[in-house]
Amino acid sequence: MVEFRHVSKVYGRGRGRPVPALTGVTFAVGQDEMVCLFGPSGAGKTTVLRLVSREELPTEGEVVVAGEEVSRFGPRAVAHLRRRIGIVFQDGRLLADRTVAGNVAFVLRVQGTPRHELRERVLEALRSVGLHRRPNARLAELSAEGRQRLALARALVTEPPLLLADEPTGSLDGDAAGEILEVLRGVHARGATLIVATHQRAVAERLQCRTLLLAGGRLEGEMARAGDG
Amino acid sequence: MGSHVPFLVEATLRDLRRSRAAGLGAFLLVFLAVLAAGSALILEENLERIVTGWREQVRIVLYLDEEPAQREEWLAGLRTLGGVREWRWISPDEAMGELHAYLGADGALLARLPSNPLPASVEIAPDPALSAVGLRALIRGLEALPGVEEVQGPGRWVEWAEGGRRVLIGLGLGLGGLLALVALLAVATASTFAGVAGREEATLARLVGATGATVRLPLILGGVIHGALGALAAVGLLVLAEPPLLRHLGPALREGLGLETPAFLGWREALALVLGGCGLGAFGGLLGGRTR
Repeated sequence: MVEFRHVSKVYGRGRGRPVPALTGVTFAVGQDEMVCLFGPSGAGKTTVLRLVSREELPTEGEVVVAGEEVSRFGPRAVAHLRRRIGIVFQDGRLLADRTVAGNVAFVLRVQGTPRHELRERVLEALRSVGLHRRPNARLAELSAEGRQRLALARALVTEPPLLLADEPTGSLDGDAAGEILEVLRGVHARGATLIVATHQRAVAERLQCRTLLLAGGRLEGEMARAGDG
Repeated sequence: MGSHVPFLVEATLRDLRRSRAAGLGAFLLVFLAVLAAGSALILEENLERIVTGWREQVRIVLYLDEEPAQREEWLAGLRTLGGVREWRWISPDEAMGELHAYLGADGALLARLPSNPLPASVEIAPDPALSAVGLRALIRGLEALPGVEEVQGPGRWVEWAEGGRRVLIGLGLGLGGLLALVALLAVATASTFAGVAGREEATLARLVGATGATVRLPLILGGVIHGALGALAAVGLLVLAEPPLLRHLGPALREGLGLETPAFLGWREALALVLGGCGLGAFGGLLGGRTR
């Protein structure tokens, strides 16, 4: 589903001091697989996700998504690629002037979903994260956990075959984080491919997924799966 | 594309709300620009009618040395000159009769003359569509005809009237053009404000699969709405102003300038002005859309 071939990314080339974010990273994520990118802040996890969604272009190497090298995509192909990817952003990127349902519906509207499908799909996505009782709540009325759930609902509403989640549990405590992770496991169980970036070992352990270790922009190896012996 | 309409409508309305004061400024400036352009159009049409009316009254009189032996042949020479609408041959006797009638009671003095001193002449009505330059060329052509002693033309007032008309239209169009440029910048500014205010939303839209065109189109549509509303208001004002203006200025125009039926905006001109406003708005929106 996703393949990185000797990918390097350097930010700020030609403008001040270049900052290497990734160096020679190679890995593959298969169809229906769930992979955690684990590492401390600045390890390059977010950069990996941004390269997959074509927010960034690699400085070197190739990023292949669904068999296609995304660096070669034109604007239309990029838009089409992003319609097949659900993204939970690290900073949420929720729209403060919209309701819970409005935030989720935004994605469907952008993608031209017919009006008669919209309401049902929004409610379905909210139901999957437990927010279906509060569709008209304003963003300010939501707790950190509620916002995290909303970000997840927005990413799931299009039922994407590939879900990228950047620190999906953020700074949530154990129980709240556990519920979010359960939702992610459910999404994976329904057949989606997941790439989850996290700096929390517990997240990788609870998801029981293949975990790639990133440090200083390099892929350091794979962590043994919990229960693999 | 059809199913993107709700998103585009919603995004356009949000952008219009975001532009607020700048949007109001854009509307007002488009209104003024279209008002100036519409006024210039009305002015142009009426000045054209006034000058044409004056030109219809222009007469050129050719005084001949002596009556040509082959009169019909000589008159045929007139036809070869462009710009002659019609002519009237005035024999010396007819000229004397007209002078007699003009002098009234004093005309009896003419009977004391030993012979009729008046020459034969030809009164020519030039084509009213003839420009001042064309009229000068016609007079030169008439002077060159055989047997012509003197040509009495309309003087230079036709040139002055034409020049005055050109200056007024130039001023109107210049003002309209300047206002259109300012209005364009105002629409672009309003779109830029809306674009910057909605940047977060636009970025998110791109990240969830919107194309650049889908993200920019609401700003262009917002510009079109500013332009259309400004132009409609200006055209509406011009149309509403017609009856009171005719009532107050009609008699003065008729008696002072000979303008029997003043012209106002026809539906074609009104449509062109509204479309012009929309085009101006769309271009302004396109310029502002570069912020996304």
